[in-house]
Amino acid sequence: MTAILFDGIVQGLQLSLLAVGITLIYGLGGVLNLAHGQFAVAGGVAAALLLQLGISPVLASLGGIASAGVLGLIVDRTLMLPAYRYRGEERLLLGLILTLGFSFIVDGTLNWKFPEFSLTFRLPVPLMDVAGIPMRTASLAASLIAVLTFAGLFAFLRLTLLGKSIRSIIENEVGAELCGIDPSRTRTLIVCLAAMMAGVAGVTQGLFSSLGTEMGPEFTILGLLVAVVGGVRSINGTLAAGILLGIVNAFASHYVGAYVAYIILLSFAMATILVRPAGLLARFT
Amino acid sequence: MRKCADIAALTLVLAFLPAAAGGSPYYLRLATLALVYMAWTVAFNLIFGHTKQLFLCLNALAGTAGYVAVVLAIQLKLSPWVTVPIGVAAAAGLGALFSYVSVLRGLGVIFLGIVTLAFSLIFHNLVLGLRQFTNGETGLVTRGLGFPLLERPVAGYYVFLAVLLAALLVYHLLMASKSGMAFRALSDDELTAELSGIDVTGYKVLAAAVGSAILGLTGALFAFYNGIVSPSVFSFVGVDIPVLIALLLGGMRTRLGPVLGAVAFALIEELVRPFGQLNVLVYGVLLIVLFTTFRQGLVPVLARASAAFRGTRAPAAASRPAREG
Amino acid sequence: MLVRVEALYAGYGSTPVLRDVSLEARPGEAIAVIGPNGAGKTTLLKAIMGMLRPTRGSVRYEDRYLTGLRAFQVARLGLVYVPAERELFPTMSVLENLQLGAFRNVRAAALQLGYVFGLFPRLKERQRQLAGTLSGGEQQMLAIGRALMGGPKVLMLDEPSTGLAPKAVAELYRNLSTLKSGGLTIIVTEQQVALALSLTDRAYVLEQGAIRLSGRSAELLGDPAIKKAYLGVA
Repeated sequence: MTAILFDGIVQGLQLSLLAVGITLIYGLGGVLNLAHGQFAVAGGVAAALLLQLGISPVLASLGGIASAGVLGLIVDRTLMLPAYRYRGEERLLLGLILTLGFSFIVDGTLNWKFPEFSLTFRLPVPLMDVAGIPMRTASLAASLIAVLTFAGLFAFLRLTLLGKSIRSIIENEVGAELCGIDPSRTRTLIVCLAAMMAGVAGVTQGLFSSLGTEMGPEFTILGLLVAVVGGVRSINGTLAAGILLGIVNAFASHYVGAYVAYIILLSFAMATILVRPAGLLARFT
Repeated sequence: MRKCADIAALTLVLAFLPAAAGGSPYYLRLATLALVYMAWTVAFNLIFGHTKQLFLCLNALAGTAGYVAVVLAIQLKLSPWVTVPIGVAAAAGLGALFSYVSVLRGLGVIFLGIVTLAFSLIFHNLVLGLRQFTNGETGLVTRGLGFPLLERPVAGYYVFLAVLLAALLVYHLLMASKSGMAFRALSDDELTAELSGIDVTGYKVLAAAVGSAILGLTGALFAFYNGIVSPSVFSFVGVDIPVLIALLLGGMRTRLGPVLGAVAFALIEELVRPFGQLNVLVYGVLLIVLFTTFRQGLVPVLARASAAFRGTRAPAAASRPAREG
Repeated sequence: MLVRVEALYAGYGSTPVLRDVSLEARPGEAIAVIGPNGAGKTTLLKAIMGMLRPTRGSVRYEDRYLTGLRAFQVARLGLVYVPAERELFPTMSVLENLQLGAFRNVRAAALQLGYVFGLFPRLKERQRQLAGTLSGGEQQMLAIGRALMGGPKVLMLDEPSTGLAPKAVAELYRNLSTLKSGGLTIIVTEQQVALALSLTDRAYVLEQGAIRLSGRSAELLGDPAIKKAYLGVA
């Protein structure tokens, strides 16, 4: 029972990492990034390539995460430009379609160039004991990385001026611009940050399981579900929602099977949109 | 009646297509598939083109009708003539439900898109999970269930041609009536339309229901025509994406846009076929290019081209009477 | 001349709003732009700020043409704008809102913070409070304080008295007066004409997108046409 709970938390943190990037980018005036999972895969693939070159796992991972960030930079500076020219629903729709198209391009390219690819990390100590329960070291390591990443993100956003400027653009772009903050530079920064968070998710996926090039769409959908339940504008909500859904998924998978578990997650998302669109776990403002 | 000239011309061309295909079963099937996608795109034109409802569950709507029709035929030994209408009703009901709830809850385009996408995924997982009825990934054979017409390639082609023409007819009737004006008004500015006394909810649900019915009818018939129904027959990438591209290519909110778009898309598919897996990549490029540059679509471009052509040949068509009064 | 608007035409999409508007402000001057609803006062300030692209004419600030600059670039040059909606960051604290105002000039931030707190002691009291929970008058103070954090030379305010109780309005204009005596150039639009005219040196009357009248505020206050149109019901 506790084992399932722990497993759920581990998975949940993974989901949160994917979802937080979507939340960040959505905060940029409602651009829903349907290519987000591809950032995770790209990061993982880059890390794997670096590993093959003989670079140490830690550096390879950092390299993978940085690559994801660079991809985010490129996407923001090229693909997203048409979307940024508009506001409101036009921007939403354009962002949706453009990122969807981009996700196909990346998915198609990766599957074509690296068809049998996967990223897997092997750790020297496979099992460790936590509170009397044997846990895979990989899971623990992945969770630790996720927690540290989130802590770092929160610290950055809450304590640094740059982080606050990011929050200000998300909260009120007009007001931020009047303070002398460059909206498009900040947007690029946000997209990079979001992509790097996804990159971390991709690398940790390779840690506690394995990452394949075809996982992009799956990651995107999972991230989307969690972001919606947590509230697409709330980072705290995203973290909480990820863990919650991870636990729900773990228990559901164990008791009723994978398909039903997935349907439960999907229903959570649908219910959230219909009942509390701001997110089940979003903070009351 | 000039307005129907293009549909009449289309009918003629399509009616003789099988003869032109020279008996090649491959091309006949290709043409039939194109008809299926044309009908689906007409439906999406109503749902998204005219009333801005981003349904990302076209595959689920068509698939629901298909699976319902097939499973009922198999399990309850009912004739497809009974089960197909049931399937269509299911699809129409679902579509109307999504539309109604979304208007009720004031869901914007994005959230409706996510809800319908979630439904699409739920459909996929339901089909896989209810394997005692659906046979999961392998699917069900749909031959010999009482629909011999669809099991013959040429007859099948004409069935779908009839479906497409029916869909176009319904579209035409809707657009020519009060509904058409309502659609135009509410796609322009929903709030203003509402304030002018137009029942926005009613018309949106109407568009969704009719569109979903067309999706369902085509989907259910396709399930029988295809000989097999499985999750991959009604997949998101296999249905929603081509339809979206076809509608964009052909021209949203135009009558023949869906037809031209589906043809154009079919041609592109054929060109990309030798590259195998890369078709997904081409979809991506198409989506991006279409949505940023070519947003009008083929029909307006062709219309402008033909108008320019006609303009240089003769004085303006709206001519005065030869005799001054 | 600190700010010079020359023959400005601007509007939204295909709707023209401003026609041939010219205006100037000297260093240390306080200028009022008064006029009825819909005259284009907000449009004018937005056009100066670069939030709106004028179709004709130009805006000059310290001999530099602002054409094509975005609002954040204009703000960084020292010309700041407090819109009618204030555009604060409601889930961030008073202090954080102010800190963001100094984004363009972080080195001066500490000094400016002291100055702003000195000017608005109430903001200092409530510095940890979330901006969204402040009263109308306090939000207005915060908006102005935030704008001042970058050490600007010109402060533009769009109908700052909107939605404020009379006591808060009086306090607001007292503060503006203090800022003016500190050497800040101020451009303020108002529907509360008497108030605006009492604070400022010169004023422009904007009606239907064009300048109908301009002159020294004291004179305009006594002008019978102005009195009838704007001060009769003030």
